Amino acid sequence: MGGSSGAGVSGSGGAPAGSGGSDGLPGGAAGSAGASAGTGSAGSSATVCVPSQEPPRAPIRRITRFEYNNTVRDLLGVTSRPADVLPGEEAGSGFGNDADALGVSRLLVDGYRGIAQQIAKEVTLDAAAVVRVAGCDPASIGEDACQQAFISDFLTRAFRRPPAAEDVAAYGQTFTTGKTLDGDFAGGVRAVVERSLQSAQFLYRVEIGEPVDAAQNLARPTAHELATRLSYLLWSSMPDRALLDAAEQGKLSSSEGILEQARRMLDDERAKDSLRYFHAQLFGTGGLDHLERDAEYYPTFQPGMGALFRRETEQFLDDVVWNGAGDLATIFTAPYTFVNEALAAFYGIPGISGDVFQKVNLDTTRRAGLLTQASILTLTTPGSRTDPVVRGKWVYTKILCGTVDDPPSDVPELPEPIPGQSVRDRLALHRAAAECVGCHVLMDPLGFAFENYDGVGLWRDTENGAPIDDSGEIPETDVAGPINGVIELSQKIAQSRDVRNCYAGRFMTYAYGRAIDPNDSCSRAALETAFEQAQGNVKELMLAVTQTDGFLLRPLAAPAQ
Amino acid sequence: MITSKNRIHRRTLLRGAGGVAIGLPFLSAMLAPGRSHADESTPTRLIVFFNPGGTLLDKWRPVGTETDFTLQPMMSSLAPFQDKLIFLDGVDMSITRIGNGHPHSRGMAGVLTGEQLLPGNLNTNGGNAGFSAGASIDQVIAASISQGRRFPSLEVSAGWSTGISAGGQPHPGNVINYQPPSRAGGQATPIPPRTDPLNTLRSVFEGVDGDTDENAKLLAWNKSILEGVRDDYTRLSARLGSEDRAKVEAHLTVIREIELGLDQTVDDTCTVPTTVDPTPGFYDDPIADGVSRGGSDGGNMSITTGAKVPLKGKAMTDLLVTALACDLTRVGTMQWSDSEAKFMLGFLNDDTGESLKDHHHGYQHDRGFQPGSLEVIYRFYAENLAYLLQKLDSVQESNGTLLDNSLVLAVSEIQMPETHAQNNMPFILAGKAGGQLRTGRWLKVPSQPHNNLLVSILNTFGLPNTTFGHPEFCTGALSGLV
Repeated sequence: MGGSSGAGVSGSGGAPAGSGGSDGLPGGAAGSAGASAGTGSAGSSATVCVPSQEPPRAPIRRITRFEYNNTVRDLLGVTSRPADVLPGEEAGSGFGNDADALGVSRLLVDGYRGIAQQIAKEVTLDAAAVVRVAGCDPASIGEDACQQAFISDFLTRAFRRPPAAEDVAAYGQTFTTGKTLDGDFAGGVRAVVERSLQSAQFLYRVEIGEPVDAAQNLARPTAHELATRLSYLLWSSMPDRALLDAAEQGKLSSSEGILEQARRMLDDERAKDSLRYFHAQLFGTGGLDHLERDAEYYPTFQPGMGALFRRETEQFLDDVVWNGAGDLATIFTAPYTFVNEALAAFYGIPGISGDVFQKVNLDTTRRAGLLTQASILTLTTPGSRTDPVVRGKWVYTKILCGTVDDPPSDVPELPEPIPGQSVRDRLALHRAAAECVGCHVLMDPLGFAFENYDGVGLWRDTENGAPIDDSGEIPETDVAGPINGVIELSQKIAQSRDVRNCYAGRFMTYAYGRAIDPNDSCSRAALETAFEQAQGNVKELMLAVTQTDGFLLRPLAAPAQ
Repeated sequence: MITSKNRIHRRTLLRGAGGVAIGLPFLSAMLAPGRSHADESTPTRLIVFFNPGGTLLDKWRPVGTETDFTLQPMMSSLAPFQDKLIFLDGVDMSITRIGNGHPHSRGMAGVLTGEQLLPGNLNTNGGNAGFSAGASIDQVIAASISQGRRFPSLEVSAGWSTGISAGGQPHPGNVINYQPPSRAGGQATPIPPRTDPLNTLRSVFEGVDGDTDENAKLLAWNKSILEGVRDDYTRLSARLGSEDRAKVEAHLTVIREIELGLDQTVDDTCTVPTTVDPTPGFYDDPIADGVSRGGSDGGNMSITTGAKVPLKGKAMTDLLVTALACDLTRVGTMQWSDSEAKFMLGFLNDDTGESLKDHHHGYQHDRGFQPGSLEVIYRFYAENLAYLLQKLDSVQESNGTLLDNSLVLAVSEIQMPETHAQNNMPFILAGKAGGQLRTGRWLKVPSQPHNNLLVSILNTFGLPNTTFGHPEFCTGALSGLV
């Protein structure tokens, strides 16, 4: 424990100011602002609760592209993923949902406008579609009655709260204008949809809150705001009818009531999608689909296999979390995976046919758990040769929550390898140079353990004709020490409380939509404890975050007078 | 705006989302007689052209004297425009001596802002950094000359967000255009460029061409919706705390800007470019592999084949020039890539006819400084600058060409890649800015701070600045330019 800079375990436990980097920046942004050049720091030792006088921050959150796509699916039945054309989210703390990092550009607002126009047209193309969106048939109940019912019900769902009287009046005006210009009821519906999808109440998760302790500037989200927190946390989408009803009926006024809804929601497919998104951002598997590899080096790799790698990991994580043991340890050690015929052939696993992914048992001397899957092994290989630095850095930063600063800008790249030289020997330069060793001693030995897997994740016994040396070392954590190979590395990781704390902190960062700060120490300590008590069960972690102060409370908004 | 010999067909601009009309070929529209501006109202436009990685100064420099010079082979594609440009030799981008992050990123942040790169948590492969401390001149000028245009400015790119900045997000290493900081002392707001030609076409030319009645109805529709949206943001903003309110207000500002743009009318002669391929995904580049790269590439699987980059660059240039010709905007930036420039260059051949096997940064320094291949790359960028100038010069206005009425500023973030030097920047000015610039020169201005150039450009656009950017790195207007 100790300072936020320097090699070794840092006190992310106390979450000292300036060590926000230890909560990780899995999107590729990296680094703790406090650390000095040439050092790194690992660690997620248990957080110590230091009660704060400040309410937990809750900056207004804009929905991500992923959340937009899910929301219009649930609101309007649109499944074409229209938000994919929007510009990417700012990196922030790595999940695309960092409220402090998201900005607004003309490009973005033009994009919102374009997809709102497109969706509004699409969902009002014919009379049947209009009835579906409106929720009533103007031909049977009359246009005025249907208009009123539609506006009230649609805005409740689009804004995730009952509309204020002035909303109803304003959108009534929009309906009338649309109906006049288009000459029919459908035009009114189209105008309301087009406007609402660009509205702040739709694109942002608006919270006003209700006071808890005005002197302490402390508030809690209203019932509907809590319903929205729950649905975007667990579903990455809008609340369903049952959740809105629960809000209406005051069932979200206690943490127990919230937990009950959260449990119900975890049984829904949408929870799987949401956790998949979290893992894809955390592990970086989202970009695999368009992977190409040089056929000269990897003759069995075909274009399109990157997508199979991604799906293997998705299916595997789905199975462990939702059907299997459910815990983080199993993610790293499970003796099985999922392959289809093409992927099985690539791995050399016999007896699998068809395009459907099936569960297969692994030769556990060579493969077990996430770290031995082609997805991770490939995305940590930037070129045609394995790179232990990249693999080691991936484990160090993503799994151990370590931070490393960038190399000094005047450091040259390593020289090209001498024919026959092992990558380990080539990287010995890192440990010989004083300005390199501070960080590379933390990363390189982790990466060496992966040398039995080539640049597309296939097993190899030799490199350049010489037997692979898979000895490595885990740096300063509760499982620090020498290892041989990834199987042993994974077993150690599976036993590590630091690793569980790290994962819990990542999930909390994702859930809160902002970097964890020192005022969150008690929420974080509580979450870590809950994760421990649940033996690292991921579903229990998802539930437990709904019971933390950062989820249940917020500052009192102070509007301009 | 419209001269009497023109048929006066003023059309409203907007049309249905899917309904971009494909009109006459680009050039015929641009050469159409009588294109509209009376002499006194022909606006001066600003176009920034950015190529990454500087140049090779010894091959960039002309041979001869200030007014009688010959271009070397690497730059010879610019020869047809020699009397309309200035090789500006010697300004010192001294602002990059301070600030955070890698020199590449400091150069990106400073080249148009004259300001330093502030601290932040984004990895630049040379320390973490945030964004620039100030607005870029294009945005300052846009606020002055582009009011009432459909777009105050247009930023486009052919190969953006590569390497460690991959993912499509603004990053200190990939942004050169900045809106002013929202609060004093804060970071300026980075502007990501448009990267998809088809979406850019739809957005920029929505409603251009087509049936007049339909467009009038569409305008009424769009104005009604946007008025409503604005109302939503205005009402909400009043209920929020100050931090949240600032975010909602920032969004509201953009909505107002779009609303203002709706009031713009477009001349009949404005025709949608036909050079953008309408096939969905046509301009997407797959992820590349095959070159061993250092860990500093950062973004996993972030390097694309680059195969579509040349086509995309041409399409984006066409879109930008047409938008300027139609007066949809008066300020544009063509940013060929970010400072990492990590797309593969297989579309370029070296002097032996072999295709290049690495990305630009690989030849800059990732795998050692390789001037032979770099010359091929800089020649490619010079050719594309020439393409931009040719397009601008082919648009006839009532008092010269669009190029004559523009100031093109061609810049980079470093002088040369081997040392990351940022003195003696290889900048080129082109166009006569409506007669304000004395072109046809190789102008040596040794060691003047580059912020002085920014002041001079602001002055060219009628802004009275005597200083710009960080005041410690500015001594006034650039001497010798006008």
